[in-house]
Amino acid sequence: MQIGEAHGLLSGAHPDFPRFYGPATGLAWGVGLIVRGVAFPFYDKDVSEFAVAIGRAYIVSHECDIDQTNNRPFNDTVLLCPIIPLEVVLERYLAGRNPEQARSFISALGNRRVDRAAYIPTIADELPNGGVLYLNSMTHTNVAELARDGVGRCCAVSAFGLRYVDAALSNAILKRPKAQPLPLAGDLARWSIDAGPTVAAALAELGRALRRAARRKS
Amino acid sequence: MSPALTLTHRFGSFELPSYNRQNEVPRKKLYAPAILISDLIPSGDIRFSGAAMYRLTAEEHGILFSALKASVEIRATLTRE
Repeated sequence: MQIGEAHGLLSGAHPDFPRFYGPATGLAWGVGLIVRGVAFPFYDKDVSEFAVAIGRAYIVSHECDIDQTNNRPFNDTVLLCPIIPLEVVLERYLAGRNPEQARSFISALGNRRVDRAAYIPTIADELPNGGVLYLNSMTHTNVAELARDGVGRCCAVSAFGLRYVDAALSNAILKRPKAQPLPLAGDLARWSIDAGPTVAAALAELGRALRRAARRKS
Repeated sequence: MSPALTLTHRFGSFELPSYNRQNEVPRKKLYAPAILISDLIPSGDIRFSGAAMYRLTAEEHGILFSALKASVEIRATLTRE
């Protein structure tokens, strides 16, 4: 599989991709902006240590949470998601797996079926083949980093683009329901079984009290 | 402006009919910047399906990590005793 084929498959994967971006002019630093030259920490598995990388990223933090004019604590950390150019992903994929496997992966990426990764379309000269948000690599940087020389805004996503990335983030990170039951949240029946007879008896008593209250009210 | 950005914001001048309520005669046509309504309406599904997801294998996570590393400039790596 060549990059042209992969790009063709992905760029046509959604009818709204041509309106995925808009200019960043006039927008404050905040969610939806795509930046280049930003430094962020990541864990280098090859040497089992943290490293500082400089690259492109999608800003995840809402603007009100990183606005320095807001008088609130902890507003100096920006959440971001690194962007990997599609051609680099494909090259690395083909180095490890065969073209059919690559085609299957690219096809799933276009159909929004890859867990923890999302394709974002072309940004003219910046990302000519589009890029991949690898949501597992979400990280942070300091707000001061955004003002550093060499850090620039590529563009912003459009309202559609924001909904698309939000959907990817929601699916990848906010997986619900939780695999194991939690107390006082949702699946009380399963919790009562797992928690043993004492909790089950307490819940049964609670149920009886609620029914008595309902009868008195009626 | 890049082609992708141009497509996103297809602003232009459109002729808009107008009506003058005071003398009840049609006004001159107005020329105003506008955006195509179709640009505001999503035309496709954006759900990332929870069912039948393509679960990345450990090897594929390794590939994506390798691609991430290849796509950035590494300035420093922590060294510990």
